[in-house]
Amino acid sequence: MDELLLRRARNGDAGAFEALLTPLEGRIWRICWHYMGNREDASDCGQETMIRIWRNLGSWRGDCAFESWVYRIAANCCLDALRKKKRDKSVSMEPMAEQGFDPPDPSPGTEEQAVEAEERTQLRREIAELPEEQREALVLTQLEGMSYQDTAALLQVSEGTVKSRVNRAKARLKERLTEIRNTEERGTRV
Amino acid sequence: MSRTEEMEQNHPDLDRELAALAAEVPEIPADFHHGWVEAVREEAAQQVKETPRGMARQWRRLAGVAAMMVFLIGGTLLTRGRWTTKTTTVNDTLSIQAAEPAGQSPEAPAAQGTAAPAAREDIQPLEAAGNAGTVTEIGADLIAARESKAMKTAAYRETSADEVFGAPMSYAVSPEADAEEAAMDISDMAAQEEMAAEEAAPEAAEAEAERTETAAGAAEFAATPQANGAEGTAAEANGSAKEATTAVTAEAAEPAEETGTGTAAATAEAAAPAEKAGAGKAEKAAEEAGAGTAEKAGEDAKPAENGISGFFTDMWQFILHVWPYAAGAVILGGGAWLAFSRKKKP
Repeated sequence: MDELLLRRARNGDAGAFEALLTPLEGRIWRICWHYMGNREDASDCGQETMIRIWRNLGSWRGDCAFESWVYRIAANCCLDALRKKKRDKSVSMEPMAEQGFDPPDPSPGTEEQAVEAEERTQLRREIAELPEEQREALVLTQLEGMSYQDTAALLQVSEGTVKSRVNRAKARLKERLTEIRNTEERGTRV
Repeated sequence: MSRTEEMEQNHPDLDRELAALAAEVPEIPADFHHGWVEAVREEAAQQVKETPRGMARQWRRLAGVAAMMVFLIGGTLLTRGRWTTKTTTVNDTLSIQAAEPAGQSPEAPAAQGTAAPAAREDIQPLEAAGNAGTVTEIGADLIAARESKAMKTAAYRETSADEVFGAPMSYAVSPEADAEEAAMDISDMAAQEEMAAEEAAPEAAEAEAERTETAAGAAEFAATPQANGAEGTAAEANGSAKEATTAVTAEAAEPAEETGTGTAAATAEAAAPAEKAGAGKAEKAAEEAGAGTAEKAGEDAKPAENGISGFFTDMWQFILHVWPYAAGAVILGGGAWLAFSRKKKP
């Protein structure tokens, strides 16, 4: 991170801020994607993240890595958006499907690919249902590829706590996915 | 194998699915970068619009501090040394000197021993002279002398008066003599003192003769201190003046004894010019000597006042004298600001 750019950005230089954050936007986008699960929401959360970083740039005191601080803001943005989504009870796809809406398959291919896509959608949906603490730890370590150490520093908890949260999240996901797939198999047999 | 590692390896299928999910991340939308950059620029533009208010507030604070500094420093420089002399009265001087006996104030023991007692004691001859019927003329002189001495006394207190007056003197004689003694220690005033002594000596001798002839009466009582003072003044002026005065006194006393004319009225008439001459000359000399020494003392005191501590002392004096006006101005200004400022919207 360039200290000069950071100083200029803190003084209100939007160009310096752009130069400072452009290298990090790919990671911010991925975090938002993993949390939100769709392009539109991820894009909105990404932009909201950038604005929050701009507004709070002066509050970063250097007690943690700048990148960690940025990812923390991105994660908080996504969590806020998910909470708001739940509160607003936004229109889900299920009632729309009941009304005859059939979205086109984004990745047409073989049947096996379709099954895999369906499984990933289920997995993503179940991740979104996880408790916040477990979801954060799982997304950062398993989807973003961050180390336990970095994740612990980012979440300001111990490394053991991160591992524990990841394991609990995995156990819960496994349980939920097994339950869903067993139900589907039984339904197929019947 | 630890418990955590064991738990991590318990979900290989899930790990595979998670890895696939991680790899599934789509490319960043083309307008993502442009979108957040525009959003940040708009935010920055909004902040720039709000900045003048914050800047104005900062400038206002800075201007307020600068104005206060200019007021304090400028006011102190303009009024430096004005407050101490203006506010010191005769009573203040006397009370200060009564509260500070010689030795407590190391700067001016000699000043306490000479000028101030002289000012304190010139009230006594005023009363005595009143008995003799010459109160009006002498009283005016004494009041003027008293005021000037009081002001000079304040200056003496600030200086090293030892250098000016030498050792403290005794006050066995009259107050006029005291004042004159103070003046006589100044070498450049010696000639003037000598002249005053010579002028006072014949009349003093005349009065002395009358006193020895009649030896009674209030007029004699009134005349005696001045005569003694004049005589004492003449005697202590310097060596040659003393000899001359003594000679003149002796010569003048003899005819008076021979004539033997000595009534109370005559004594009063004779005493009055002597008193007038003695008191007037002594006070005049003392005043001139006092002025001279006061100026000298002021010059001596200047280097001490030029220091930082002296400046802050002056600033404190300035604040003490000015704060009621400043407080009034602040109250008026605050009231006007409250009256005309609009309430901020939440």
